[in-house]
Amino acid sequence: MSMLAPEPMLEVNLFVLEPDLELVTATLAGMEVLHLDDVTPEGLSASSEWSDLANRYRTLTQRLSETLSALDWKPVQGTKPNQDLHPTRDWRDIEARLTALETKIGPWAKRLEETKQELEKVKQAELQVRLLLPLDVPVEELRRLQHQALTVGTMPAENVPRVAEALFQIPFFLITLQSRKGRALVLAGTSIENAAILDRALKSAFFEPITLPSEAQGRPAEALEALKRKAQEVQDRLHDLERERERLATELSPELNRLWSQAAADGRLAEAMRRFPKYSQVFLISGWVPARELEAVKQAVEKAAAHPIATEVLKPDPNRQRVPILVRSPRWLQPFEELVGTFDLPSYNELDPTPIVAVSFLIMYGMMFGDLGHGLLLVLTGLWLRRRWWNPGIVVTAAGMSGILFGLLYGDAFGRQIMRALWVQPLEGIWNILLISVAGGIVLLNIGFVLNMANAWRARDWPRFLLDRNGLVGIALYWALLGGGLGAAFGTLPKRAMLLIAVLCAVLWLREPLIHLVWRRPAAPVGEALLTGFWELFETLTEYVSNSLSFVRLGAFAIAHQSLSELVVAYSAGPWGWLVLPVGTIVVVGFEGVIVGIQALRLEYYEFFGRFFQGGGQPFMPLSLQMGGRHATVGVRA
Amino acid sequence: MVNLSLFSYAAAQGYIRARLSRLLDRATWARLLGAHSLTEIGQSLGHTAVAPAVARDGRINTQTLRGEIAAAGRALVRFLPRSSGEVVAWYNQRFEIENLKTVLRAVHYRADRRRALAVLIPLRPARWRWEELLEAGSVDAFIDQVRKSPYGRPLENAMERYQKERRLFYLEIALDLFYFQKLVRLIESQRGRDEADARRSLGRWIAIQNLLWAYRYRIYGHMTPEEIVNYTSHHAFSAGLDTVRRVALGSPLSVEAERLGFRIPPGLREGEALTQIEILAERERFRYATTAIRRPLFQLGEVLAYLWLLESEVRDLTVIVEGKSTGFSAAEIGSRLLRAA
Repeated sequence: MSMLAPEPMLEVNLFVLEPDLELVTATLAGMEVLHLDDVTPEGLSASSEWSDLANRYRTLTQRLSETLSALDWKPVQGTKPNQDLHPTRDWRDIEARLTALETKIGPWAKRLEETKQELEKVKQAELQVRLLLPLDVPVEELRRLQHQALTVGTMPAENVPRVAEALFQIPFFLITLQSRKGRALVLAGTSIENAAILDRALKSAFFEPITLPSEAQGRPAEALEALKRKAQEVQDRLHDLERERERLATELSPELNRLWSQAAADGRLAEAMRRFPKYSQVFLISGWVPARELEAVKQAVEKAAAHPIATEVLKPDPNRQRVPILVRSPRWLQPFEELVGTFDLPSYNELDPTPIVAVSFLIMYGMMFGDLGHGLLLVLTGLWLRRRWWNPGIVVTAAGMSGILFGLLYGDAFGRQIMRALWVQPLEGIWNILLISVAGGIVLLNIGFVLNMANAWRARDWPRFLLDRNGLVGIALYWALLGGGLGAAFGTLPKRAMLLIAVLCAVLWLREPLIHLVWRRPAAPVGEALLTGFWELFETLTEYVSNSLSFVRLGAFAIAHQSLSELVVAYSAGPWGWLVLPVGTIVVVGFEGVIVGIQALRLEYYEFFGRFFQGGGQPFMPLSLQMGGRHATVGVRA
Repeated sequence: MVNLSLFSYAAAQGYIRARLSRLLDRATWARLLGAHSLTEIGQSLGHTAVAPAVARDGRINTQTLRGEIAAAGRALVRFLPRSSGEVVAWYNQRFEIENLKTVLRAVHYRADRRRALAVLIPLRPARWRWEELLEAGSVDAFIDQVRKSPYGRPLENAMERYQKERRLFYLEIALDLFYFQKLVRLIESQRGRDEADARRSLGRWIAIQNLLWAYRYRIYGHMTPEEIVNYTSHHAFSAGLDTVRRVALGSPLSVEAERLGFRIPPGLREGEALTQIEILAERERFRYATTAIRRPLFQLGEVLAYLWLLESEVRDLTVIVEGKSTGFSAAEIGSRLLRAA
């Protein structure tokens, strides 16, 4: 079970004196073994000085990112700084260097921004004046209209039709002159008496009025010429500034990147320290540590600190605490963790079913998709997928290999019998394969029963262990029914078996009153408990049968797969055979490959997980100097 | 012609069927309603799926539970066909928008960050570190941080108005309109049974929300007709532009509610009637969900029904806990529940 069980965790409280806090936190972050817990015990309060420091680093990283992006660069994520970190000290150096660099870049960046805005304004003015060309009236006179309210401005493009619909009570006009980057340049007007309504409607659609630049003077044709000259002049300045960008980027970006990675790591430490509550000079670092790392953590922090550190280690109470889970899976299992993670993350009390899911999923898949050739195609697809999507690629490759294995057992390749079946040919041993499918399902369901009891045992949930429909009574009833059913089918049903079934049914029926009686758990009134108990018993019995028979689909799909494949082979002998064979094979592999995967997944989620899996786990995310930390890359679900 | 989406729905069905048993059963609801103290409620919930969100004293962290709903929605999206998956994914985004609004308020009013953090819905994986957003010194800095997200543009559009008047309303309404307009577009892009389902369930929900907005603006915001029209959704199925215009021009609430099939008891003031419509709408949605979930789960409607059942559970739990702590009787609480007491 140790492979299935999440790593045992311990709650660790470290009481650290203020002078040691930085070093201890940096040591812990370097080790990546502490999942911080936000606790503020009575009498302790959060420290504001670290909040200020964290904010300082946030501002610094933000400034560094902006400076880099002004040079068309992006900070390199995940780089570990190559020096010791001291957040209280480092920010001075970083800030001084950044300020010096900003002094070099700042005036250029400001000129660039201003020039871009200027160009935008001139272009918008050009558009407005172009609209006025037919008027042949000086632009300045249009500003002195007495009977019309006219306005020009920008607004979100999607709001233009909304304004038109909002102005349903007055006559108006609304003309979109241009749309760029989601904003529309519009000209709107109405009579003077309705100006206030137009103004309200435009404002509530986030309209921003703009005014014509001073260059727009005289008749519209003259104003337009002046604006064009202005635009050309601004454009030339912009080109010069772009050339300067390249020079600055080559010179400054390496240092900016180095500063960014240091500020980001220091910021992480400050952010962590901000969360530690304090009392006087003592800080409390509280979190979860894998039990096997405890001694290493103790030794490392004691070595890092100049003063003694008080350490409190507590056992987790998973029924009341949200204990993070860390499962150290072997590398081959990691792609399959996603199959479980898609459903949910197991909680700390639960066993991680990934190894069982990996094996059972592959067996079920191979059984439904058994064909040497088709399996090989799937392997190739998986290998190709792996280049871009590693985990899905591995799962598809493994599924293909399982298909190859079952292809050998069935003796099939591309729908043709190429060798003697090592086990059975699905179409020749229909009953055989259907019965084996159900038997496999019974095995998987029983693993589910056992896992449920194991989980209940771990949680010390005795009613669930003993009296649950998937607990001890449940598994006994399931086997009694199975034995009874076989007995009835092949001979007689012994009276003792009937009695056993009746007793177990009665226990399940009276489950709630029994739990109330023995464990003093709250229960519904007796009448209601009996009624709901009866229906639950009925549901349980039908569920046992339907869940078991549900696995018959394994055999059914194996038969369907072979039938379809043989059909493709049969039609490929016809006049269009050269086309039927490749297209048919692609359809069978692509179409059935997906269906079979979904069916296997469904059996896992519904029939298997339904027996034991509760989920709701919290991933172990240790304090780290890098985004994600090492656990995010070692395959632990995070 | 084989309907390929059926296979995607088969996986979603497996997921939902496996999780339906985690919903609280009738016996538990009855125990909760009959509980004499919050501690007793805590005990009754101690061995249910909601236990991690229940404190020793019976208080329930509803945001944790809502985080679970968001996680369920996200998990389901992975199974669904792309088109209906997009609808569910965007429907799920309301949790993120709710968090954004909470952070905006905290930043605007300079509220205590820890308290604000405590009322956020835990979302995994989160697009941002909420702590960082909460520490933005100003709304401008906040918008800077979310600029690259889908919410960046609507917020930027509303920013100048916010800067001039310092009213959060403009930013919040920009987010809401953006959310609902995209949801409407996604619903309209569905085809076949999924489209019918989306219109019947989500479309109805959007229509009711739109009607409630319009009346709130009129009753509480005293807005002018053109403002009401601009701050509501124009494509909201059975309560679109025509309805909003009628509301803006003074149409009585009872008349518009009746058009949507809700009968309001006479004598209620408009504010009370609005609350009444909200409850009636939620009950209607709960009934729809309980009926839909009994059918084979091969359609979008049933996936939404499951999410609504989860939401109804959280809502009813909140009503019970708040009712008990206020000293309401079981009958009084029962009358406010969505499910039959």
